Formats: sequence, structure tokens, C-alpha cells
Amino acid sequence: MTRRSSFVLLALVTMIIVPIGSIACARQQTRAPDLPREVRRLLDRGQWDEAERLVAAGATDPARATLLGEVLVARGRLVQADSAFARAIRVKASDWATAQAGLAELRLRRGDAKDALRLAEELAQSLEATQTANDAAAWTALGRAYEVLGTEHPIQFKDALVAYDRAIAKDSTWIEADLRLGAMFLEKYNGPDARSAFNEALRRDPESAQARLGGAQVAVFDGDSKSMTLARRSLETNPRFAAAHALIGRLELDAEQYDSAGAAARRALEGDSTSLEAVGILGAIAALRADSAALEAAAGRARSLRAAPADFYTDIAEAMARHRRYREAADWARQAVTLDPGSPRALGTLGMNQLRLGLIDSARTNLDAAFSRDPYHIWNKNTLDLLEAVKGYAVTRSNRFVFVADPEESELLTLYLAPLLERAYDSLAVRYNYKPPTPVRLEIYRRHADFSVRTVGLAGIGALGVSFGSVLAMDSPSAREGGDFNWLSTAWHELTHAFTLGVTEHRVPRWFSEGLSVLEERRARRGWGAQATLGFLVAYKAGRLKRLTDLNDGFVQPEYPAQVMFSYYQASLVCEYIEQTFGFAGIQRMLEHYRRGETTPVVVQEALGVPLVELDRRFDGWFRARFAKPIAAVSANDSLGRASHLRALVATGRQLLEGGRSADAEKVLHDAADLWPENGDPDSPWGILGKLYVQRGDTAKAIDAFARLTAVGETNLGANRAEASLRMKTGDLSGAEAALDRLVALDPRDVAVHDTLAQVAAKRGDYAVAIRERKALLALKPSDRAGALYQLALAYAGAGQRADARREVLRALEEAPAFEKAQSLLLDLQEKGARP
Amino acid sequence: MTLARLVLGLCLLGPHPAQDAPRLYIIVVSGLSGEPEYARRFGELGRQVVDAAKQRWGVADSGLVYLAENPAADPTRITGRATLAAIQTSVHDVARRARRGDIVMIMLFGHGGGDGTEARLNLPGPDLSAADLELALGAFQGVNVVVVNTASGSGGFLKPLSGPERVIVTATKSAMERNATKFPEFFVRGLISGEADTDKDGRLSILEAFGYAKREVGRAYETGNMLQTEHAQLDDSLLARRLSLSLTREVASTDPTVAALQVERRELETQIGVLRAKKAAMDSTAYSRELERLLVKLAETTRAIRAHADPEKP
Repeated sequence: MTRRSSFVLLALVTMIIVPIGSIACARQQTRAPDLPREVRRLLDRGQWDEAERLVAAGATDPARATLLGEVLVARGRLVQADSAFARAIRVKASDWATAQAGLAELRLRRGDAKDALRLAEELAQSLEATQTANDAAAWTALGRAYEVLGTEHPIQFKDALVAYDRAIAKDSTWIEADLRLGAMFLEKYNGPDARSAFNEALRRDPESAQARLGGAQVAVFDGDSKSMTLARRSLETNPRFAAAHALIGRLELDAEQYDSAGAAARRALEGDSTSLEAVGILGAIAALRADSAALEAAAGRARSLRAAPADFYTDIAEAMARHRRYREAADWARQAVTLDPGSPRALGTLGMNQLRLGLIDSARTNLDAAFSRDPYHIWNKNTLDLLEAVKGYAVTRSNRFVFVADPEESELLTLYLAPLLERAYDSLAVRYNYKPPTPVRLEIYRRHADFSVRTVGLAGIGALGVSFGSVLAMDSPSAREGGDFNWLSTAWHELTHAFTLGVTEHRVPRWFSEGLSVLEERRARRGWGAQATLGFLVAYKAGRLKRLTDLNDGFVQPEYPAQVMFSYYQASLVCEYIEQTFGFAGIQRMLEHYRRGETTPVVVQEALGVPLVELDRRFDGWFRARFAKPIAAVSANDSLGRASHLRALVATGRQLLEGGRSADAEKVLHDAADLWPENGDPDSPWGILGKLYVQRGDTAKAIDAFARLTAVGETNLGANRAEASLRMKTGDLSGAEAALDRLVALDPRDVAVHDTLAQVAAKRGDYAVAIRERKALLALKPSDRAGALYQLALAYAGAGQRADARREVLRALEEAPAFEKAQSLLLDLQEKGARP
Repeated sequence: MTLARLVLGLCLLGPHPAQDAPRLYIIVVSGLSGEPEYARRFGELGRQVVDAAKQRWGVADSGLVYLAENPAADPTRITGRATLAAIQTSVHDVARRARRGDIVMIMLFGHGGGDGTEARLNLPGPDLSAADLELALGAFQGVNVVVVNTASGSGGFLKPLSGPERVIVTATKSAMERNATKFPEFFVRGLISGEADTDKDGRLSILEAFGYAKREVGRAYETGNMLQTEHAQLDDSLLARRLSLSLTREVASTDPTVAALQVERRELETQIGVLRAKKAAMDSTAYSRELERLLVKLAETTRAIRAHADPEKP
């Protein structure tokens, strides 16, 4: 391995020493149009007959055997392709290296790894010994050989990378190396480098079907909504491009459009009857639909293509995982591993799904095995690094939960999460008449990057939490700016998924599961859960929201980034409407029908007795009635420069205020608020009115204005702070306590909030909250620990829990024996007979 | 006989009759601010230290020097302009008057940088370098000197100034930590409030104030989701533990009954200290039982002292 790396390096040095010759060579190649280029261009465009005719025209030329092989590979005639490549090698054609690389790949595809490795080894040794890789095609052939060898010795993937780079440097018009680089990076889960490679290929050939497909694949990797459009653009160049059809099939599959997915897979197979990817999609559809006959047919076809089609089973496993059916995903991946125990892809997929099931040790074992066979796979590596970091996490147990969190903050977070989620579990269990398997494991990540790795393998996703069923993961509040999100409602949301996933055996579609989770947030506490925003109402008016019939696409194939968030709220409204109209029993019936594997139109018809289209129509009427006033006050093109009436009123109010006309401003802002009293947007008139009333000293009105904001905005830090402070000022301790409690749900690290809440609660005689808050302050590791313990002891004493008070005051005195106030409390408790 | 509770200055731990208490000298230097916001911050910090020195720590006017960038900004407190010459003169003057066992605390606010002897605090005119200060401090013999450099990039002051009978505190670990520091606010808050008195004995050691400031600086960066750009350091920690400010310091009573109770209390505190040191090696139940016994006894003793001092208040 070292030898080959050295070879590549030596070749690199040679390039540097003789730059003039290299440039001259490149120029010459750029100028000369040649047959191989034309044939490959035709293949890329799907013009196989023309390509084959061109090659056949000079059939006696041994060099054409390689090109013929490539044409045959594109057409899926692999046996003939094998012969053509073999002939090119046998007659020592000038492009024998390309033929040998093609042959090695073919053998590998067929499952003959031994022969593939032999061919690749021979090719690499020959080029290394003679140093004859002196043009882009030869360097590319060498890169392909290294990729084949990399399946056995992963370090050779690095050699492949260098070889492709050399090919690119050799010929500025050569795009094959870029395409192969891009594909290799994607296989290693390296989206950014893959994007660069495909972009470079597109720059060189904007029409290239393969480059366009590469762009689409990167978009899928990035979760970019343009993936389908890009995949279709690839088909504009090559309508028979099997890989593009297969990608569209996968996207349709993920959108739970199984019929369309099947049609796309069949079109892929028309283009290339040997596409295992397409067969995998058919297998996944069959598995998702529990169609055993179709599944067996697909499996049979896969076996006809590969002796041990581990990738077929891995494809099904991955599709299952994308449908949140993690247990089945692990089962399919296990079958793949059984077929090919050395497949890093199968091992990685198995490990990843075991992780989602909370089987941490087994997951680690399989991910380790995958990593040892392919150390360049970024997701696997990141996940193993994460598992190493999580080893040091604190594990806290409650009745039905296991909390895994950074030891620095575990005590603080579980102080709130344990009672909240125990209560949520009880409440949701009654509502859904179902109890998810326990213990439910909640992993809380202090670094958002770790949470991202846990969920999608890479840093950078925008989500806050994820539910794999009885395994939940979420950002810790310290992973983000204080007030960025409501960490307690997020936990409630994710736990709801454990119910909706569990009760349907993970068959609930995304829109319904998310809709119910948001609805349950709103039911749990005042102000929790997504609410209507101006952007949402504008999108509705502009027709940019999904209809109920394709609401799932709003999550899995959003047309624009904000559509995902809009879809969360919209889905929750649909659920709310269903519950109001059909009762919660209607929701329960829908869940039961989903459990049976039925599609949404069937589920709606069977569970609610109306066609889906009719439900959509009725929901729309309900929605229009509910939001009649604000809808009338917003403009469909609000975001295009024309302000809505609502927005214009708020702007006028601001201007009047700035001009010192506060009475006029108040009237205009109230007009704006009347149009949409539940406006909790950052630009809501209520926020401006609240500040205006504070300035005027009209505390009652200020409280009312801020309270309207906090009633509909679960993350409004400023309004909650203002409300808490104003209510304390008026002596409304109950209201102040509620506002302070909401602040804790936004930023549990704020020492002042805990201290104030503890004092307010103690004054109200709400010692349970006072005790909790004093514990929170202790968990925050205060500088004055003895003082914090003393305050906790006081709270216990207030609650009449003298034994606890005595225990805590003794702890305070152990740290600070001379602490006179604590000494007095100890004696007081002693006199009252408190014993620990 | 009433309980004698006096507000004293910086002292060595342990009971001291008032007449034996070491004297405390304080030199506050507020360097170049650069911006009005920093001028306001440094001025506020200087004001707090000077007021606490007079009102809480019993520092005589003659033992207090406050040099600042602009003396006109606070003429009732500021005693001169913060130039290199003024600092050298002030240190020399205090060194001339300080006796063996006295304590001199020099607090520096401002911006700085540079390493080793080149470490500097920016002043109007020539800067104060670590070498300048080291030279000036050489005048002290048998006097405990505490230098607290809270400036940005102050880390370079630690090594050149460290030595016997000295406690050196810097807000940063090196000159490379150049951003404006949060340390001074927390250190001063620790000095003037009871928050840093973690053992609640009414005496605030330099180590306690330093530990408090260091923790709170870390917390401020963490809760603000900011990369921490300052890491305070201290040398030497043993002396820093022994040197303390008294917040409400008790002195030995002349009433024989109270004096006996005070002795008993000190003995109990010592016994508790010994017991805590043995905690790891002891059976936990036996430890808790003995600790509780001693703590109750200590509490009763304190109550008895208090009752004797003020019979009206139990």
C-alpha cells in the first residue's frame, strides 16, 4: 500500500519537474477530437445505438473493444461487456488499462471479488512498474483499479483520489475523473467534496447527464428540495439514464408515493436491466407494503444479478430507516451482513439502526467493523467518535426513562425532564391507549454538532430533536443561544412520537406524526407548540402551502426551506380539526388504520368516513373561518415588496411612536392587533404596545400586552421577562411564577431566573417549586455552594420536610462550619425534632 | 460585655487582637481606557475598590492610592494621574511606611499585553512593564504583596513578579489573550460582596475571591455561548489562602466567659477540619454522626456567644 502511494507521489514529483512537457501534452489532447470522447458523450446522452454504430464501424480495430465494452455496460449487457473488455486486454489494445479497470469493476459487481482484486492488482502493478499512466484515461483507469482494491485495503481509496486528481490535471476537458471522484466522495458520505467534483464536471460539460445526476445526489445528501428537479434535468439529457430513474424512484419512495416509485424503478430497469439499485427500490416498496410475493420476485432478480446481493438488502434496510421503521431496518441490514459479512455499507447500516434502537454495544461493534473496512466513511467515523464521547455521559434513571446527558448539566436537566416526561407518559398513554416500551432513552447533546451526528451523521442539521421510537435525542438548551428553543416542549414533542410511532408499528406517515406531536405540545401547556406566523398566513394566501393530499411532501420534499416549518403547523391544525370534528377517537382510528399499512386516502376514508379530498376541502373551510380576519389582512405577495395591510399598520404605529405621537400609535397598533389578536410574531403590535405601556407606567395594560405574546409564543424570552418583572411589581406572584417558569423552559442556565423563581415560589408557599429551583441552582455549581445548600434547607423547612432540611443544612455546614445562619437553622430544626 | 465585631482590613487567618492586626495598603491603578465605555468601566471598578477599602476593610486614607487616567473624572477618590512615575513613587512611598507582616494590594485595571519582562499595562505616557513593577516591588521586605492585574493580555505579569511573600493574579494566562476581560468585574464583586466567602467564616481570602471570579468568568462565557478568551491564573495559592479580607471580623473578647466560648468554638472548628480531612478514610455513617455532633455543638457555642453578647437576642 505504501508502495503504491509512493508511486503516485513519485509520479506527482515527475509532473512538477517537467511542467512544460505536461502542458504541451495537455494542449495537444485538448485540440484533438477523438472517438473515445465522442462515444462516451453519446453514452452520457443515452444515444446508445449511435454509440454502438460508431464503435462497430471500425470493429477490426482492437482499441474499439474497450469502447464496445463501455457501450455494453451502459446497456446492461454485462456478459458481452465482459468479453469485449477481455478481448481488449488480450490484444494489448492501447487503452487496455481502461478495459482492465472496466473488467475488474464488472467482476466486482457480479460478486467475484477475488478476480476483481486480481485484475485491479495487475493493472496497478503494471502501471506502477512502467510508469505508463501518462494520460487522463490511464490515470482514471488506475484510480478505478485503486477503488476496487480499496474494497479490500481501504487506504487505497486515497491512492484513487490522487490518481483522479492527476487525471484531471492532465486534461482540462476530461470529466470522467470528476464524476468518479464525486461518486467516491458521496459513497464516503462526504457531501461538500462530492459537490465540488460534480460542479467541476458540470462546468466542463453543462449538459452531462451524469454530472447533473451527481448534483441531484448531492442535493439528496443535503436534504435540498431541488433534488427531484435536478434528477429530472439529468433525464432531459438522457431519458434512459437508469441511475437517474432510480434516484427519482428513491425520492418517490421517501415521499411514500409507492406507485410512482415503482414506476420509476421499472423505467430504470428498462434502461439498464442490471440496475441493482432499481431492484432494491422494488424490494423496498414490497417490504414496506408487506407484499411478500413482490418481495420474493425482487429478491430473485437481485440474486440473478449478484451471487450475494448484500446491497439489495442494505437498500431495503436504508429505505426502512428512512420510513422510521428502525427495527425492520436492522433486520434487513442483518440479512445483508449475513450475505456479505465484510460489507462496510451493510455493517454500517446495521450499526446505525441498532443505535437508533438503543442497542449501543452491538451498534458499536458493527460500526467498528464497518470502520475497520472503510475508515473513510464520515458518518461511521463521526458516530464512533460520538459514542466515545458519550461514554463519559451521565446516565440518570427515573421510573420509565433513562436520561443520557453531559455530566456537567445532567443533574440540572433531569430535574425538569424526569417529572415532565413521566407526567407526559401517563397523559399520552391514556390518550393513545398505548404504552411505548420502556425505558424510553433520551439522549441530550450539549453540542449541536453531536446531536446532528447522532441523527444524520453530520454536523449542521437544523432540527432540535428526533425520535427513533423509544430512543429520543435532542439538543441540550446549552447547545444553542438562550431562548432559541423551548427545550421542555421539544422533549414533549419527541416523546409523543414514541407513542404515535409505537402504536402504528412505525407506519404513521411523517405529516400525521408531526402534526400530533405539535398538537400535543399545545395541549400540554399554555403557549407551547407552533403557532401561526405572518409568513405562514402569507404562504397560505399565495397558495404556497401543501394541500392535505400531499402534505407529507411538505416534510420530505419541501419546495422551499420554510415549507417544512409551515407544514409542522399546518399538520397540527389538520389534527386539531380532525379531533374537533370526529373526536379523538377519529385520530385513534386513523392510527389503527395506519398500523395496518394502509395509505392516507384509505385511512381517511375508513377511519373518518370521508374521502381525503373532501376532508381537505372541509379543513380548508375550517381554516379560512378560523383565520378569516388575519387572512384578509395579509397580502399574498407580502414578501415581494408589497406590505400587507397588517404589516403597514404596524409600521405606521412605529412611525407614530417614533414621532412622539403615542396616543395615535396606540390606536393604530390596537387596530393591527384587532386584525389578528393571536399575533405572536417578533413584529407583533403587542410587543410594541407592551413597551409603550411600560413607558407610560400603565402596568396593567403592559402586562396584558406581554401576556398575549407569551400565550402564543413559546420562545419569547423578552416578553416573558417583561411579564415576570411587571407581575412581581404588582404583587401578582402567581402570574410571575408562571412567567419565570416559562423562562426556565427557554434557558435553564440563567441563575437569576432560578433564584427569583425560588423566592417567588417560597413567598407563595409553593415549596415544591422553591425546592426544585434551589436544587437547580445547586446543579448550576454556584460559587456560594454553602449558601445554596442553606437556601435549599430553608425551602425544605418551609415545606415542612424537616428531615430533608436538616440533611441539607448539615451539608451546608460541612462546607462552611462557621456559617451562622445555617447554624441557627440547624438548632431550630433540632428543637423541632427533625432527624435526617 | 458586648461582642466585639469590627470591620478590619486584610489579615492573616486566625484570631488577632486588634492592636496586632497587620495594616493594609491599597494602590489602585486605572490605565488607558481607549474608549468611553472602558473609561466608565474602569472608573466604576476603581470607585468600588476605593469605597470598599475605606468602608469595609478599614484602610486609612494614608494607606490608599488611586491613580487613574483622568483624575478629574472622580476627584474625591482619585489621588493622581496613572503615570509610570506616579506608580513608582506611590509604591516607593508605601514600601517606606509598610512594616513587616503588613499587606499591600496593588490592583491594575486597563488594557495590556506583551510577554515576560516586556509585559505591559497601557498608561498615559510610558507603559508600566512587568520589569518596572518588579523593580519597584523590590523595595518591600517582609511585607505581603498582592498584585492583581485584571487587564487584557495580563498573563505576562505572572512569571516575572512571582516570588516569596507575593500573590500574583492575572486575568489571562498569556499575552495572547488580548480581548477585553470580564475578570475584573467578577473579582471586585467577589471582594466586596459575601458571595465569594465560600466557607462563610466572615473572612474572604484572596484565593476565594480568585476562585469565585474564575468560576463566574467561565459561567459568563458558557451561558453566552462564547468561546472563552481569558483564563485567569494565580501564584502562589498557599499564601493566597492565608491572606484574607475580613468582611465582619470577630476579635478576641475581653469578657472571660465569651473568650472561653470563642476558644471552644475555634477548637470545634479545628476538630471539624480534622474530621473532614479524614472523611475519605472513614466509614460514612460514623463520619456523618461525628460531623453532626460537632456541628450541633459548634452551633450551640455560637448561639451562646451571641446570647452573651446580646442577651435580648437568643
